[in-house]
Amino acid sequence: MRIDGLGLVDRNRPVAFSFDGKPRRGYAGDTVASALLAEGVRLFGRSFKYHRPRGVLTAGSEEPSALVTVSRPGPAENTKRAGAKAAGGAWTANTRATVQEIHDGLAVSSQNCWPSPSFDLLAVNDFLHPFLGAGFYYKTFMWPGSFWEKVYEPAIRRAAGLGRLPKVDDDTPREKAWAHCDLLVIGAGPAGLMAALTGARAGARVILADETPLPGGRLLSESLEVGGLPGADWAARTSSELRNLGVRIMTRTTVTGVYDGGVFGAHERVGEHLSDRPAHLPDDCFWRIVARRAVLCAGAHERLVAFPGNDRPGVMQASAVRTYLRRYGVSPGRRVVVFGNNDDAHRTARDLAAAGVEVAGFAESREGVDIPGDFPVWKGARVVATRGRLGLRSVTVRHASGTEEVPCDCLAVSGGWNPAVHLTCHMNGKPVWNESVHAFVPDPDAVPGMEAAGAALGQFSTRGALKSGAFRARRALEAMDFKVPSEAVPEAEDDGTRIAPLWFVQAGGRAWLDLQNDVTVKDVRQAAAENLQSVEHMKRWTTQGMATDQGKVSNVAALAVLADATGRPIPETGTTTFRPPYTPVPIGTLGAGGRGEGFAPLRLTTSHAWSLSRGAPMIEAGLWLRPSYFPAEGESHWRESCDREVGYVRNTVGVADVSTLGKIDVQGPDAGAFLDFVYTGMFSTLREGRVKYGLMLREDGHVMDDGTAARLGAARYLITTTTAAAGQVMTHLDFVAQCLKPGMRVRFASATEQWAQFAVAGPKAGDLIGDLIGEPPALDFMGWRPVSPGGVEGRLFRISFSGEEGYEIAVPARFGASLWAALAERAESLGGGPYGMEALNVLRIEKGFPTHAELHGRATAFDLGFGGMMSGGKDFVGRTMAAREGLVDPDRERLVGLKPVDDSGRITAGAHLFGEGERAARENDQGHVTSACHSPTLGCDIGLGFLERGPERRGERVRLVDHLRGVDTVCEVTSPVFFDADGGRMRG
Amino acid sequence: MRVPCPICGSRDSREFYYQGAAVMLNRPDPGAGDGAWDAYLHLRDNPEGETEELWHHSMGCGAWIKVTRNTVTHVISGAVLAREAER
Amino acid sequence: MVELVAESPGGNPPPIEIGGARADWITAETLLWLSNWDDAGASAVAEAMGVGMPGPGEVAEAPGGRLAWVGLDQALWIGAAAAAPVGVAAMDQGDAWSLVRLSGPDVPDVLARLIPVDPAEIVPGRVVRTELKHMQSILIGCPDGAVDVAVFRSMAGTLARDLEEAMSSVAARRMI
Repeated sequence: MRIDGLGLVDRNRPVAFSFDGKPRRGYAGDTVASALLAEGVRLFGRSFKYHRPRGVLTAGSEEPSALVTVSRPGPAENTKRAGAKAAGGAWTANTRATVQEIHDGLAVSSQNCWPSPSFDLLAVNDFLHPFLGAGFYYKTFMWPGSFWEKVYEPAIRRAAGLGRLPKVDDDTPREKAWAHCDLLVIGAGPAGLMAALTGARAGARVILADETPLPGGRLLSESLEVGGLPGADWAARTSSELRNLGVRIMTRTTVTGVYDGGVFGAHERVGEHLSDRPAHLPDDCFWRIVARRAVLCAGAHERLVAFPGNDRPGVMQASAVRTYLRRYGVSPGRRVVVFGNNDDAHRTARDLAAAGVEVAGFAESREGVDIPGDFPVWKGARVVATRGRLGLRSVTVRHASGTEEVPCDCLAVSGGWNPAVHLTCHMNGKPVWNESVHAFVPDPDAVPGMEAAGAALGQFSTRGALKSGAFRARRALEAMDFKVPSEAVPEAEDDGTRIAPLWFVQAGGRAWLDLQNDVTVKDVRQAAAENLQSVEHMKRWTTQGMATDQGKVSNVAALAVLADATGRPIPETGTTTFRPPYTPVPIGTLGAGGRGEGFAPLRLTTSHAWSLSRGAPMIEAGLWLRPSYFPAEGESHWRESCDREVGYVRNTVGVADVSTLGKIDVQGPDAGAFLDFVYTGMFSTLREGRVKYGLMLREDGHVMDDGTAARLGAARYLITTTTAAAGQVMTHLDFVAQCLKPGMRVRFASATEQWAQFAVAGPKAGDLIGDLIGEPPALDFMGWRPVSPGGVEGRLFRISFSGEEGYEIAVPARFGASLWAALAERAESLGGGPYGMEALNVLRIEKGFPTHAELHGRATAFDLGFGGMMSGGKDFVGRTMAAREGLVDPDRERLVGLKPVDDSGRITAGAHLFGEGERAARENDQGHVTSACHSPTLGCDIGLGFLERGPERRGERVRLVDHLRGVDTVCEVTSPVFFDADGGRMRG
Repeated sequence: MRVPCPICGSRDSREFYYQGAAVMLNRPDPGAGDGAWDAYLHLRDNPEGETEELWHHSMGCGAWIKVTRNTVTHVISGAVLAREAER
Repeated sequence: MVELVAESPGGNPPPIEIGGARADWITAETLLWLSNWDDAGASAVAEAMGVGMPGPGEVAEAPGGRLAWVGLDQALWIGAAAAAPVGVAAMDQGDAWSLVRLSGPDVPDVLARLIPVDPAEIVPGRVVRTELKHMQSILIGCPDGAVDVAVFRSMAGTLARDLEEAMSSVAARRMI
């Protein structure tokens, strides 16, 4: 129910939303939890395992229990695709009702219940609980083994799980970004505000991140004063001062992870709380914050006490009751009982009474503690039972003078506070037990450059938090050499922590620890009894703390139970490991910006638009797009186009864009010696104006890449790489120049993007080039010279990847589109035309030229038949290891050509090779096919592959089998060069 | 994770390509024998504590650097240009 | 003979203006890549360009242009036509880069969505080499908070797309 005069929600701005299809109302500033509690809703859903009724336990991101599915308003089409469960667009499951803010049109639905949260068929699990205890799935579904996949697993998967996935593409706009600062302050409670203020006044660049919409932390929930002002007013005034000082306050931003070197991950909810979202507004953003220093002011989580029936809707953290009351102006009950073991809980009774809510009684676990107030107080008391099927109706209190059942609809529980140490554990830090506050506090050295302050450090009083925030910030700032002016810390409550540990209540019935994974005190005891006494074993056996809340309110209590069961003290029992993220982050947010074209850059050649205008299907080659083929009118299959284009090159002239090949400009007095060291062959002796084929090895003796090197001048070469390996070769050359030969006077840079380069190949290639440059090409095979087509300075190379008379002409890229159009037009007028990747591939297979299908990382120069290119008189990368016995063994699988004995036989890449007549089985495998095509020149399929003792077996027959495509062909082993074996056409 | 490039300063690790042990700086002579080459290419220490390794600032200045990193704490205690590193 | 027509990198894309940020494709008469291996080379650069080889992250202003550091021992002359100095590696890269000038008050927020480096470091006189989304890039600080961004010519379209996405997102945040 709403309490007039309390709360920071805007009573002038009503908000209409829905819960399970029913219209609900709240106010701007409400969370789903506060708005529904105000409307008297206590039942939010069902639990994961036993389908127990679940309500709201907390008022923050530590919520284990009130998980709901929310859907954002979206196009009607999404609704249809998503199904009937949630109205609106695609939905998000497992949203914490205590975090999600309401907005007009928000549709909220309950989870893990069918047909409804009040009548749920799977609640039958609750009656089976004796069989479903700790580790049940390790024990129960063991036999028969074959049942696991077919019966048990599908059934369990249907029944289990939290919420449901929408199963539609997630087109939610999301974002990733970077932020940088001197000082990152995590949490904007009293400690965080003070830390940020200290940083801002020292002139540091400060980021203050808080996971709620409003800075202030617990000051917004308590009836406490700071510096003579109501806490919330002090927080508002301080935040506005921080903004004026240039502090970047990131609200709705949870710091989720701490990483090496001062990098923090943070999840910001940007548009999730808005009904009207501008186009392109991200729902959320994942930040990478780079901070020189950080202060962790994440506060603390109030812990429960485990007693029978403590999971019933209506049982709540005492501090959460105060938050609902003071921050939202909502009382979670009309008649409230408070149960606690520490002085902090007294505030709940006091605040409720002051707001006019009936306090039905106070169960104080300690003796001899005075609690002022106009309500019954039971000392030395324990709550031993609760009643109410779908929500709390009464609690049973046992105390010195007896046991009584007290009617109530809300029970506020406080077992003390756990500092939020989570982020200090992300780099392997282990929290340490502090006996004076009965809690784990951070290891001060857990994260280099980050210190905790305030309640996160176990400083639970308001004044303690303010002082601690200022002090820790000052230390961080001084470590960064900032001059920090001395700062007066405002006056505030400075009560000591008064608590007597109470973890669980001994009484009959199930007492709950982890409300999300349905773990009870009995489960932990059973784990201990089954000898799973290490805390990490207990965690996995019971699943304690393994749900999406990571057991924020229950882990320490579970440890205490384990400690009790094993007879060890809590510090010796230890804690489990907290890992990022602190709160769940959608996978889609971590991958934001990576969908579709955001996945990788697209590299386009200068002929791209022309290729598209000719209807060429484009295929990816590395990051580049290249034309597959250029369909002509009347062609209905790519093979027709490909065969025609191969014919251009073999019979007239074809042109192709080869700009994507890597080009590296190598300069310096030692350029020749450098290339001698990275290639197997000699390049220092290459004459100017000449081009040479080069093979580059890895140091382990296998082939890395191949290409050509042209000597441009006395101290200048231009080398080429394959399209795919351009980056790898550049990295390798950098490695050789800097790490292996640092004394060499050689420098190089990529020239790939500077030049547009086109292949012109075929019997009429010389005519075409002559027409283009206005003079005969006048180049011998493997020569180059400067040319100036249309007055533009370019280069002409006489090289061939097709086996025909071939040229490659290069001009600065700005002229690429224009030159390409001219080449294509001239080729067509000569009866030829452009050719694409398919034809290019056929042409090179016919000539036995390897690509990365053959240079697959396991091939040696010997395997490829290039052993003769290993220049003997010099050292080069890979030389020593390439000479290893095993790498020059004649029995190795070596490059061969393959031709079907029957012209109609098929050859496919990936097929394996066996002896003729042998069974096609692994033990008979003799090699495989790396490249295959239909050769229009030879009129049959041909292939390149690696075969044991290959070159010695020319003329032999082998059996080629492709199990996947059902191909079984008898082939003849041939030379890899199928066409024009002596190269006469190429040399001209 | 941050890597201190001696040229560019502290940068995010995504800008770097990781190679492995800095042993790769000490390339044996061609005739050093099988043992030396095997050790150079294949044998690596797996220390608990400080280790030296090579990173390439491929998205930045292009420098190969020798980084001293602690495998337990992940603390990077130094980085020098590979071409200036002691061999 | 043939007549060849020049086309600017990326095919003259129109400027993008969204919210408080604007991207204009710009051209420089000359982009000359220089790299020296000794002091003599550095002197040759100083003589030819009017400024010496810049230190890491530096951009030197010279008559007719800027000489920006672009990597280990490497600089890029951006400006008027210039003859290559002798005794250093030199290469025309005038066709290799797509150049965009980013301007407007939202530039730092736009860059924060694209690069892992602090945009506040990219001030006049400074240059940063880093990854822009997935691309190698050069970012040069300019007066009035503007930044010149260069990526390889073949990726001009991706740069436009990435800028537009980041600019739209920043602009949308300004509307709430």
